[in-house]
Amino acid sequence: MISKLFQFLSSLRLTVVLLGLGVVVVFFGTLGQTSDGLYVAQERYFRSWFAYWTPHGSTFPVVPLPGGYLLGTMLVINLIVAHFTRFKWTWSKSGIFLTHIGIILLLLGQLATDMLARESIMSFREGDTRNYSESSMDFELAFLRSAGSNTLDQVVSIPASRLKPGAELRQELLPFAIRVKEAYENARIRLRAPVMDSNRPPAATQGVGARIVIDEQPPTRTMDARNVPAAVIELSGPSSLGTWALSGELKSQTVTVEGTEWRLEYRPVRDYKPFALTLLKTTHETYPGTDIPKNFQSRVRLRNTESHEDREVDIYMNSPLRYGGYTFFQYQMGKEQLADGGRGTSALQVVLNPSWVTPYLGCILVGVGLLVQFLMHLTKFIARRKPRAA
Amino acid sequence: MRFTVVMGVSALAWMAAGCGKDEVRVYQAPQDAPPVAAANPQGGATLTPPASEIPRSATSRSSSSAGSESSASERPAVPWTVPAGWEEMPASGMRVASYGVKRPDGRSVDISVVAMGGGAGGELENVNRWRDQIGLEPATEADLAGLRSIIPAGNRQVVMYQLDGKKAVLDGKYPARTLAAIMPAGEMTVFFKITGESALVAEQKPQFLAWLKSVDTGGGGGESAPEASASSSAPAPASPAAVSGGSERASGGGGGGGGGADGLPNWQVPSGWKAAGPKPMRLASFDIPDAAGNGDVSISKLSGNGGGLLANVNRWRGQVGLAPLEAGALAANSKTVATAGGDSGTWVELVGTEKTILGAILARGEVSWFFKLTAPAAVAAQNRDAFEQFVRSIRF
Repeated sequence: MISKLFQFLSSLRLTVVLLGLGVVVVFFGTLGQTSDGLYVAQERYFRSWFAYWTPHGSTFPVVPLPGGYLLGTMLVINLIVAHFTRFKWTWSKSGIFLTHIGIILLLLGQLATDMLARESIMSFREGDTRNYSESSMDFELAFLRSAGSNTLDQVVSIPASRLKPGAELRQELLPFAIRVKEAYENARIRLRAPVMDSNRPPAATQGVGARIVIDEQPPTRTMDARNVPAAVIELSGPSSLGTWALSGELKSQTVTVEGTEWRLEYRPVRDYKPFALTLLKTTHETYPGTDIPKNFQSRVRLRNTESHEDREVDIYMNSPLRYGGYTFFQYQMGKEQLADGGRGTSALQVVLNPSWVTPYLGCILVGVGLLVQFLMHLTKFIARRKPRAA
Repeated sequence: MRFTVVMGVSALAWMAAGCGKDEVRVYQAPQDAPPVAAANPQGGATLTPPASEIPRSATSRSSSSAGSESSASERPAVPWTVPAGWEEMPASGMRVASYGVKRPDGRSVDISVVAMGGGAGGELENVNRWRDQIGLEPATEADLAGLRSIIPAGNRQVVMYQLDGKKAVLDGKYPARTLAAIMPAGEMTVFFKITGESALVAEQKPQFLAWLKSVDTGGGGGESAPEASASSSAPAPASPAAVSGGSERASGGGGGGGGGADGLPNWQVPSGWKAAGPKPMRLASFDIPDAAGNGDVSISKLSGNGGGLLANVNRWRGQVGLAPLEAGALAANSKTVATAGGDSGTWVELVGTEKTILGAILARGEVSWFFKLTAPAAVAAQNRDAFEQFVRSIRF
């Protein structure tokens, strides 16, 4: 029984079927992207164990599919089991071994990237200093209070994914419990109109929520827009602290409990760095007579108080800043639309990928393996021809 | 066995992918820096002065007309040079300035400046209204090109129409002629018009053109100024930029002071607001910078009731896509707001699909003051209380 299982797991037929299914998943994943958008399609088809494709506008699952995780896992297992059962280590097969190790490294590297890599955005205006970048997709409910100094905040950050209607959340640092009353993936807020909304209660009883209403919006899946989540929560400490409206469109609100002032912010998830960048100057050059960008360039000042580094760096297209494990790519550029002309703004894409080297290593190993195998065959071939020629 | 362990570990690691995203994090983080640092051209960083520390307004260059001088103590100077021979007339209705020229034989011309929101109905509609006034048949869109000329106004180029009436519509004796220049200015359109007896209008045409050329459109220099910064066609203390001395700085404590000397009341400027440069038809402006879209606060005044409370509220409603109100519905859609100085006015909140306008209209004697916040819905919601506090802090 076990030997049959190993036989199945190590078979070349399984490899071919898995690769074929990979093509099918990529095909349906690409189709799915047209209606779901890039990020949802990635999650649904590639960062999953099982998936199904449905035609646009339908909810009926039409084509069941293996997810990317399942295919990747099976390919790794298939390769490893094949090595332990079918392949025998000999020098003449060292090229094949190297190639297979390279492929395993590529697969595991992708897993590591999936687990560990983080992409975020650092956006600022000329003169602004940032020591954090923000997620472009995920939001957090942050409770902040002074950490006892003028420069530090104590932060309790709750991911937006935890804010499900009916959920009750507690954290030992927070002097209140959080009860989620409403949660929206995408919503807009606006003032409660005097007559139009007379039959509609305000979104919440406290803070700015007492004056606004929340209009739910259909979730957006396009690349050039993002969902702005909103929620209504109830805070209950020693006594009820009322309900509060949260929205990615709102800035911080303040609630005072037992003499301590807490700020509530519903904001993109922040990733703090042990160093800071100050945007000194933005340069936006276009080709003469056109709006076609020729050069986006941000001059930043990098300061790290621990290592006493203080230097200026230019970040521009194809010339990112690599520092502290992060890579800062020039992403967007703009200008404040203010009457006095405003300051230049810049957004840097911040990528943290500890396994960034594995694809390079994997490809080198695959290349070297193929070369070794080819040279071995070549030398054998030449050796066989020589006696015949002689 | 060995590979079973390897497989088990990799499978576990694989399945762990995506975990950890849902965890509550507790950490200490540096406090956000206040968003006031601005890079100066030399590359260093300076602090932008708070809005309350920037001079809000000052007397603009004065008029050369006797009429203007005679009322200079109360009436602020106008941002143009009034030609000799033009007599200032009382502004009424939607007019922000009015002049006249009369001849002993009874012929006269009327010169007016009217500011209206948006495109004010469109070019064709306005031209046909003017044509109708002097007995001409309506023109078509295709006819407009032949009637149109481009003339300088301040440091800008604007469209002017010359309409020559044929019928003797004035006292049954004289045909009439109209020259009208249209200046888009931000969210307003300003109309400069001279109309009256045909020959007298022709005689006054050089003065009319010189008057338009003298309009202070702000921006300075000979280059065509961007529309948003063009200023100013109002007979008001034109703009913070058009300073020629005598300005008072707002006093401390968030922006009081200055009252009277520059024609503006005292007020408390909320934190985060940024004094904006000159804009047409405005006495003062503030930007509310926000990543979701900037908010805009304007302060302006018009003679009389500025065209009427309901008309102005309905104009604002149109700007945010709301249907106009019937006369009786205004009370239910507004409230009364009282200022620190003892004035009271009408407060409206106009919530459109995208934009929201918050406004307060204060009638004081012979002028109406307009305080208006225009912003994307979320920014308006965020700044609603601050704007109300701003209005409530006003002292004339």
